[in-house]
Amino acid sequence: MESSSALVVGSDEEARVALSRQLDGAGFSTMTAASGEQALEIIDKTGITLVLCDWSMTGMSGSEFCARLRSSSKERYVYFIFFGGSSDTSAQQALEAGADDFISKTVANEELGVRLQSATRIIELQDKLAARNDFLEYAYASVTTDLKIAAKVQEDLLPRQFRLAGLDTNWVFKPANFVAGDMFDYFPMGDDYFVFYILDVEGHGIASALTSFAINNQLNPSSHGICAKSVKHNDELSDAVTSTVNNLNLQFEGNLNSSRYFTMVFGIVEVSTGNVTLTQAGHPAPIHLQKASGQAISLGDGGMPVGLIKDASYSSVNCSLKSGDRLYLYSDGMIECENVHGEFYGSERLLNRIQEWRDLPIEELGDLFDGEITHWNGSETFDDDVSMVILEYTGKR
Amino acid sequence: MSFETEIKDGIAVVSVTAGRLDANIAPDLKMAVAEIIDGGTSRIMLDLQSVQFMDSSGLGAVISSFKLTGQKGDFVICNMNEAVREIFTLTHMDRLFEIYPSTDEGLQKMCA
Repeated sequence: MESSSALVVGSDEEARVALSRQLDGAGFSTMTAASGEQALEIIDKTGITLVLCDWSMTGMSGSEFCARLRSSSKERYVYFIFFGGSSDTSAQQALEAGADDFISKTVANEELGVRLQSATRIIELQDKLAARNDFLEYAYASVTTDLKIAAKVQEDLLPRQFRLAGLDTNWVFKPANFVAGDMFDYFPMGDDYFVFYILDVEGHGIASALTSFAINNQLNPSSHGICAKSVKHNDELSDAVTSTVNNLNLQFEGNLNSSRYFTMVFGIVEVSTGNVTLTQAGHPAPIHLQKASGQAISLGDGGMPVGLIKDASYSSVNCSLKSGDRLYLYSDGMIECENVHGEFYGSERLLNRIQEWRDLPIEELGDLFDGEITHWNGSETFDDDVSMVILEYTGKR
Repeated sequence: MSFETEIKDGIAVVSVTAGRLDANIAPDLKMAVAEIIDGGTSRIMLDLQSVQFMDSSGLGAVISSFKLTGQKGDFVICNMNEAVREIFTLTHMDRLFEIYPSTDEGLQKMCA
């Protein structure tokens, strides 16, 4: 067993030999080194984990040897005992130099035995700790790999940017931790309608992301989601949007784990007219940028989140998009993004920026807002998911 | 501790002492309220005087605490700052709760 090997280091041969005999007697297989340099070589070669070093050594001093050993990165912890010297000062100096223990030159066998026992115990503990660390590192790496794959899956669920029937689109998506509780989508429904939504599941990270996947699946047009049914069964668009959100609320209230809920904006554009009907369920207010006037207007006065209150009722808001008008949807992670001084990005700054960039092509806006919020945040690591969807009404099929 | 609880006239006044009622302390709030209710006090006033910021998890914890007490009037909130009030307005939760500008006023109403 390697932990019962020891290395005795010292330039004084007599002292070195005497101590190594004692160690042999205590059941250790002992090696010796006449200098710090030689000792470092032996430790490198053998991986020995118990070193006893003469405090007063000629050549490389004991404390220098100890410092060099400590500064080199060893796979296993090396337990270091100084021997020799006599005063309390040298004991203190020895510990300060990085040693674990200090014994006098003429230590009794019994005392040495006890000290070595404690050394062995600590070496074993250090080994266990190192093994646990290795395991955690491995587990962390494997979780990270999984999360990266999950992030890719989520990214693949996001809609394509740019031109769709009657609308141009762009977006920003910055998950706080690989996967996001934020999600959005838009798609044409039949020839006449264009459906869009953005949602934010409470919290962020894996649990929120799984919930957002589940909701997304409910709304997915290819799985005959509930929005398709709502549009089919309601003559009025306002009824279609509110009943979609109502249905989601009924479905998720009580079904989501504990207090988990989500906020969303769900809306439908009538492609021929540009008329928009949307429901704002606890989600930050969408912003309508009017091309002609350059004005940016917040829509809606809020609404209850989804999945929180059983008998929540939802209402709708209308707006009319003219050619070139834009609609901005975004999550609270955007306006509550804090800079290094703890200052929120805020809705006013967002409104101003939206107006300021009104003449820039929509193709550039995704990258611009991405850069803007990352710059505000000060790094690529966000505290909350950030998402933004930009729709521009072209009126052209 | 992120909370302090004091019983006044049979009403548990739970003061959030943390500046941020967010995902870090949301589970603790739910647990604290559950303990109060288990202890036999079912009327609760949540004092948010120190809370500068509340996120969606914080709001979730307040709602599920409210659900534990069962009915409107048994769980009231007081001392909301502007930022917190905005969240309650945005989510229409201001319609669900009785909200008072101070603990004194809240206690008066609850005891009336």
